[in-house]
Amino acid sequence: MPKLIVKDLHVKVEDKEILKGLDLEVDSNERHALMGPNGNGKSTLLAAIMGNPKFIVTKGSITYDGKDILSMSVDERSRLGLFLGMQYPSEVPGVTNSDFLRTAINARNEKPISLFKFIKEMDKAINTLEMKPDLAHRFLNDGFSGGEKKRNEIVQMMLLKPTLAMLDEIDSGLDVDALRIVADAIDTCQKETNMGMIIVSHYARFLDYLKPTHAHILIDGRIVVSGGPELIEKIDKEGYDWIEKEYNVKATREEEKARPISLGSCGAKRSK
Amino acid sequence: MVERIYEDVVHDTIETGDEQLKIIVIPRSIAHTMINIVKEGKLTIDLEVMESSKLHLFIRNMAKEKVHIEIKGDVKANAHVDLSLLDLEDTEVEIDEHIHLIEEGASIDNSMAQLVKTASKKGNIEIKHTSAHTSGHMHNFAVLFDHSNYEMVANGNIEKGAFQSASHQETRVLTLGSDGNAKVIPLLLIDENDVKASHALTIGEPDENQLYYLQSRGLDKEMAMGLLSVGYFMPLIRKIEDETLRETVREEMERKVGMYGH
Repeated sequence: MPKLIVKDLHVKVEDKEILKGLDLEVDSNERHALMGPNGNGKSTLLAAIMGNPKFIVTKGSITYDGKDILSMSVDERSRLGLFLGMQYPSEVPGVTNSDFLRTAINARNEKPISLFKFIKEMDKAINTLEMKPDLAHRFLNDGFSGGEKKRNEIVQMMLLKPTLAMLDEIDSGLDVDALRIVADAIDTCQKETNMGMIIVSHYARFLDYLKPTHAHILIDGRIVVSGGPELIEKIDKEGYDWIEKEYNVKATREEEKARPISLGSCGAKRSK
Repeated sequence: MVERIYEDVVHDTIETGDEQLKIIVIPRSIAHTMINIVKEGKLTIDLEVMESSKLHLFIRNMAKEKVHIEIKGDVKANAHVDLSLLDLEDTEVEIDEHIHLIEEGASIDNSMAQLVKTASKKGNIEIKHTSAHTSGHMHNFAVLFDHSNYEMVANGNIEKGAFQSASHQETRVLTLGSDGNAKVIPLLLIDENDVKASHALTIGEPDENQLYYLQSRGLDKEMAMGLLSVGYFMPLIRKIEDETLRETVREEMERKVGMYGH
């Protein structure tokens, strides 16, 4: 069974070092909850594993199924079985969900999927996630609510059948009903595929549903403590302060970013 | 000269090229016409769309050498034209189009989509409003690969007296190569106060976040860019009424933009 092994990983973003020597191993059928205060590297780790070009690996290694994935492009990693359910999925106007997904499925198969089989699988995923039936014909994430985008990530996961799923705050934007639906869908998906999972979430109830087998606390670019489900419970009750004291680490406090305000301008300015 | 006079409800397909074509739609008639340009040279299309009639015209360039397409049209009272031109050939194409919304209530929806590879594409489109309550919408889409050259002059022209008219245009150019050349000149010439007019223009490379998102689902860069360009052609292709033909054209387009690999 494929295994993810991250060793001494250092990652920087825009010249700022975010991950400072991180180790993690994830086997199939395992569910790893990745916790920690915002701004300490959880999303960075997932983005680096997926290969987001904005995240530069400066030291360390990541292998999956024995293969060095750092030498692979993003799409090669995906075809190897990695999947990242994103915190902020892109909107792609003009491209329908079904065109996109059919292309993505065909990219990983030698023979193109039959239209009949594709429609059947897509309908099944849409039903499971209790989404509107017109989803297939809507433009990819275009004009979707936050919750719809997150459910659509899970629709994609169900169709692409990864062997390692990384879910980055997939619960944000979901109401209590949607939370249950998404958790059930993830559960079913894992039973079918035996995929390994890394789940980033701040929401105890979501983790209650998902019942992680492992938990890790990521502070200041390193995993400072790992454990089982009991660790999640403790964090939920006591927060992260005790870890900072006990393990003598200091969490990175997120800085408020000043965003430039655009009042919009003529589209012609984009021309090069 | 080839002449077509449409009366009542008519579906027609014309294979043509290098000739003069005249199309007349009789008052209150509805015509669905597909023009396949199969021969190089200069094609002149003359449209006369009479009052309260409708013309759905789909022009598809399939010629293997340079074509010059000249379209002239008069749209009469309360008549509507839906004109689409799809050009997926890697051949030189020059388009001159002059539509005249000549009587009250006349309207046109004018869409073009062009795939630009090595051969240059030039367009000059004018929609002229000379009567009140007329409406003209222009949509120009182009996808440019390496070494390409695209020029488009889009002109909405509202003359004095054509009050409560609307002229809207949208031009979207996606540049996928490194040395493509795109020149788009949107014009709105307005000589009347009580009108609505707008233009929107985007020229640019694919958004890097979108590319990353598509690649994270297993599409290689060529496929991802191909998929992004599909969005520029589908609004037109969806207008093809015949389902079998629509799927054939769609497949041709997907192949030509590189969705199945180059």
